Amino acid sequence: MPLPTGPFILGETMTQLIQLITFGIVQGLTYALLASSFWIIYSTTRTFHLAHSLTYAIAGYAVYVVSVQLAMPLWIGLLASLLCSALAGCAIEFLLYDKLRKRGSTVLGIFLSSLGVAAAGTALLQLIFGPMVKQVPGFPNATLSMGEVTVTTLQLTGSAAALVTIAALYVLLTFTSIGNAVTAVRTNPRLSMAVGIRVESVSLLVFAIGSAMAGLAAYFETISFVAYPTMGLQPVMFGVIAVFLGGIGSVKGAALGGFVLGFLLVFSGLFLSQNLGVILVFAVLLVIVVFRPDGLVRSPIGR
Amino acid sequence: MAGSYIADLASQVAFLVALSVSLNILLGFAGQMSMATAAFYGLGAYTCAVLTSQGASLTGESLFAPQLPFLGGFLGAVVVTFFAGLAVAAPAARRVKGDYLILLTLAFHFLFITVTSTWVDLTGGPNGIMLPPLSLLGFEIKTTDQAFWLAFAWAVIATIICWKIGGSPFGRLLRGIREDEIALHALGKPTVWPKSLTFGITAAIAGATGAVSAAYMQFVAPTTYSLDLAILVAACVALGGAGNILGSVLAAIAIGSLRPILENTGLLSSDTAVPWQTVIYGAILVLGMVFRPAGLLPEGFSFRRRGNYYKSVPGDNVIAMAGHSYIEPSGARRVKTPKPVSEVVVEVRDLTKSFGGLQATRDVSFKLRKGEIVALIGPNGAGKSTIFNQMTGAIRPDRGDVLLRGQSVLGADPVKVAKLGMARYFQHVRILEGMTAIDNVALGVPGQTGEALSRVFLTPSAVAKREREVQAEARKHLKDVGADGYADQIARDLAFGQQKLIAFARLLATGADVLLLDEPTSGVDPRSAQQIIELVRELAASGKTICIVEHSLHVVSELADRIVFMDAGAVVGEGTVEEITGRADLVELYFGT
Repeated sequence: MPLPTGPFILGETMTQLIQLITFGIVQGLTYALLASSFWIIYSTTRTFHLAHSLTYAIAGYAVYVVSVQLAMPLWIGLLASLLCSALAGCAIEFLLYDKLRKRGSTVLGIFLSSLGVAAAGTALLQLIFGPMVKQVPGFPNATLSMGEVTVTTLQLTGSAAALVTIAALYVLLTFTSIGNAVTAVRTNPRLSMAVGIRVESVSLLVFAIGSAMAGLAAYFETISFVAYPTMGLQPVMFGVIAVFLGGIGSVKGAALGGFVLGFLLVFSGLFLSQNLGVILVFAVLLVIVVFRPDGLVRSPIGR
Repeated sequence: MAGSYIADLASQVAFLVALSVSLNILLGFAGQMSMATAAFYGLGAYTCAVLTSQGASLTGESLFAPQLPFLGGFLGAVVVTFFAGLAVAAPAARRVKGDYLILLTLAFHFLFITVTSTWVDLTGGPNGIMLPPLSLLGFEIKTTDQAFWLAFAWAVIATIICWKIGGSPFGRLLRGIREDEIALHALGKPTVWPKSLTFGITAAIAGATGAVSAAYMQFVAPTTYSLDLAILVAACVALGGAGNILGSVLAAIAIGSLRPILENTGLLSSDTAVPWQTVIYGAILVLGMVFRPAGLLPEGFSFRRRGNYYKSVPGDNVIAMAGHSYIEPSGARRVKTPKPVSEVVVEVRDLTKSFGGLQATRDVSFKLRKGEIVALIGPNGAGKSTIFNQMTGAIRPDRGDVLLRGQSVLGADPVKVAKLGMARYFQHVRILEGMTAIDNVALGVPGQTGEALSRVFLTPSAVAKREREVQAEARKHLKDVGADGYADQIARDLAFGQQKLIAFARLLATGADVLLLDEPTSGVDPRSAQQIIELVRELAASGKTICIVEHSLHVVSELADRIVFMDAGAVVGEGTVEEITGRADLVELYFGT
């Protein structure tokens, strides 16, 4: 972690540093959630699911429709986000990827169809809701101050939700029989089939879980900022980068990758402009992909 | 104004055609999943814009601007994008593959967008750059109709270049890279430079297209070069047929015409036509991948079957070995007479390799002599394949040496070893599944003029002449193994035994005189197995040096002049078939467990 040293840590700068760490944690947890959501789908089904960005946007519009157009409370909006994203993800898996795999489609074919879904779905959202951004106000947001370090209740809630969700996924994968089935399919789909695991059901399950996790992230983005048709592209892209950064072998790797990415973006803002931070992320990714393709966290499981 | 409206649309279609054919070379032929098309297109456009602009953005800030004429901007764009393509290929050609390559090229795309939107001093940021009115070699291009002809001419040039690349031996090499790089290395074909060059060339074509389009529109801005464009181009390639240039042209024309058709039917305003176009091509892409994954015109498809590329040869598929065997028929030689001791061609010395705690091979030494067949046998896990891997440079031994005609080949990669004349036949054949049998064999032929891309364009007649020789040679080898009946069938559709024969023909085509055969008869029907046995025997008689890993004692006793018996990574016995089968301990080892 790039920390300023020497004369920087003095008085006011110390406060800034703590503030930056706070933002880093908030950002990091968001990307950790996104990375885990993509990871569970990618590592289990080997699908480069770029249409995940569409799932994300659908969740964003779901809370807009329910909480603004239908004027229902925000927590119902949250349920709608989770449900709609899970359904969208499952529908794409069930109606498309599953068919393609059974027809012996190549990795490229599946990836291209995923792009097709992402492009067509995003354009449809624009046709239905228009190109303008949609706001979802109403979260009782407040700014908490500890000394001069501030954080909003919305940021705190979002971070807590992300942390709990990732922890829950870890527990599910590590300690339950469902988790064992998922791990089995991830490690060796054919053998899993041979020992009686229903691979299709496991695939649907991970699409439901991963999509709902993306939905959660989209929900918090929408109530914090706005919803718009292409809102999923950058978060999902960063989530994907985080997965490869951290390592595709375990949820810990993916989540850590997301966390590091978030911190990197926030802290590069200290020395560089926001956009140079993005460039830095790509540079780090390049180094990782070329020199350490297993990611930061290596694992015996996985390719 | 109707004329210029159509000319404008046609120009957009022309740009899409040029981008699609160039991506097809990279994605369809070489199998590299690049999402960086829009970025290279934009990089070319920006390079041209920066080099030719008058130095003022829309808002009037002054920018860096050498104010070159269009041709200067165009050449600048070609050079810059070519090297950008090479730069992306630097990691891509060596170890980054599949999903990682998608990620890498996506990252390159976002990097390009970020840089163009933020480096305001050079690119004008979100406001973009204005270009001067287009003039070419002193001619002012004033109307859209005139500009269209420039776009059209460029699309034709790009298509011809890609068509030439695709149909050349270089294109065949690219398709081989798509199918199986390791198999190509074992044939002595390097892959890193062809891949890098392909990235460079296709990037340069996309960049040149960007330069022409920037000069045409007289304006560049980051939003033009979105990921949607990259997806659109990929859709054209996939729908038209990966590996088929004509398919890409047709698909680009069809998909590029969608929006004007939507606008002109009057159902949609120009606001909604763009998203509807995206919805429709997205849907076509999805449906196409489900129902016609090979695309409209699959690879190898041609309206008029011409040339000898995919011509089907009339003839039966009966495997007939008699009559055209490899060299002189050596006759039925059931009883082996001891051969005179010939020169040592290969010497393996003390090869030692461990993987972590597992000692795979330990001080393995043996010699291969000219014209001799040595069988490497032993139980599973004895280290036989690991020895082959060390001999061909696929694995570097911890200790020991491999001498080929007295020269150490230690440290050479599989390509170099194969070029030196030691070729390997894989247990799992590693046939290039998506290619025809004849293409598989033709890839084995060394010294092909047309595999150098520069020669394809500079000395086309020499390339064509050599290609005729290569085709004739490939056919001869197919005939020698008795597989000429299915020369023009896609390897994937053939039976395993037939694939093994083709792999054999490919091995012969390399002209290597040391052949390392890893279980050449396993998994094939008895008749094909017998055929392969005869073939190996004839090869040895013709002076090749052969080492064979084999489980079938029948095959070993039919073929081997000498046996090297391995167990647990070490040589435990060496001698003639009779000597080995006479040792109770080895027989116990072989059949015991």
